[in-house]
Amino acid sequence: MRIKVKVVVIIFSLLCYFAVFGSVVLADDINGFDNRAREVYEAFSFPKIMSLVCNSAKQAFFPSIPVFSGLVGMVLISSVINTLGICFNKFDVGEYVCSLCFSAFLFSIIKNLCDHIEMYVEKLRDICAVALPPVVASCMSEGMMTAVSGNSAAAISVAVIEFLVSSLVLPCAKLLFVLLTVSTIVGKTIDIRSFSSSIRTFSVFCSAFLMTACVTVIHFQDAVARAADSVGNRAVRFAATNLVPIVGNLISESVSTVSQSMRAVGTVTGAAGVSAIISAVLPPLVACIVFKIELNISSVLAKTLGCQAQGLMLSDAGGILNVLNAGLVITSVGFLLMLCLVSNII
Amino acid sequence: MQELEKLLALCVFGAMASVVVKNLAPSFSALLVIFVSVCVVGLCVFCVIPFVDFFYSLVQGTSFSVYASVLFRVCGIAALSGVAAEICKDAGESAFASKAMLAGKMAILLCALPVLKSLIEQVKDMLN
Repeated sequence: MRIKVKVVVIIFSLLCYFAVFGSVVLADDINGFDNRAREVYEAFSFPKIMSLVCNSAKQAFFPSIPVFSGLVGMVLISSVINTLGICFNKFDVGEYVCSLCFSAFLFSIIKNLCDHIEMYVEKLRDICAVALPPVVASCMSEGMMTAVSGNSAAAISVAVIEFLVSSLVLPCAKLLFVLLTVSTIVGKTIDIRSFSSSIRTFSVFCSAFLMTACVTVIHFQDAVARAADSVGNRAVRFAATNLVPIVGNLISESVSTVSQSMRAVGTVTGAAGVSAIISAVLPPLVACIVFKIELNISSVLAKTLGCQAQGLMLSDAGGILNVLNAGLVITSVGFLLMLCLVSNII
Repeated sequence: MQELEKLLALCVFGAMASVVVKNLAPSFSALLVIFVSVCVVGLCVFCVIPFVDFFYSLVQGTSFSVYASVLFRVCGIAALSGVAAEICKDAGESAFASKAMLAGKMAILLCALPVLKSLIEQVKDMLN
């Protein structure tokens, strides 16, 4: 009802504007007005939105090519060093330095990625935290006391979940990367794999628990009705279950609700808002997935060329990246939920 | 190809000369071996310069150029210390040979020190 009133008001004001000024505009610059109308139409058209999404994905994909070429280069150099080690007697120090250089190079890449993800997660967490008071205040000001408890509980839950992701999951992932680097360098003398595996188990448990809590919030949130189980949703659920590690099953359960959330946001902000949200949420996820693929390919190449230590490090790094991806996905889903809560109040 | 022929010829000549000199004057045999070995190593270094230039031109500007140059230096140090150790062993001085290897390992660790420092700084930054 409120949306209909707003639409009527907007249309009425537009009619008044054209009634007063339209004759002047039409008389003086008919062609300009047509062109502007066409530009506005094209800006919100489906091909334009898709091109925006593709550009966002490209921005996340193309910067990863130098990283991949660097990984392959270091693997090749390590292979050459290992081959020379067979020629030179007692070249264990050289092999140690080779492991050190490879670990340092990979760690610099991973640190860069972790910094970007941490910045992204913190920004989304801050947005969700800032959106809390308006959500509660708006519900209370309109007198919807029953909606106050529902919406505010959901908003607080989402904010808490995102805070826990940034406080628990991300630091665990960082610690795992550090332990992996140390174990690669000193692996022959000190074995810390058991310690890192226990931390990894804890971080996987945290990720699964937080995503379960997020899905529970979705279940009890009646602001967003469950969409019909369409073919498109089924496809996305299948992809989420198989491609997203750790939390894929839980994400597949929430796909229909997330898509309905996007539609709810789209009714308020329009296509521009949806495309802006997609542009904000998509690039980090694509960057993580692309980096994981690069790690897997480099690991296979390293093991093929006889660099077992480097290959093991690359495959373990890919496993730890799953934890990072899970935290990223939980944060993005929570952010979309919070946007939906805010848009339902407007 | 010509450099390879020169190297092979020098090695064979050095071996034959060492056998002859060992029978006539054993003390000079070790000096002859050291001299020929140094000449061969010098020629090898001269031959490998184009490869080094090509390698540096490949890795220049890449994200791993620093690490690649460290690794290349490590290979050179390992090769030189290995040659010195073998010469000492041939001269019957195994103690000096082991010291030459030890010196090579120390030099390699010194080469890797900046990499280790930068890694530790990055780890501290990440954990903070």
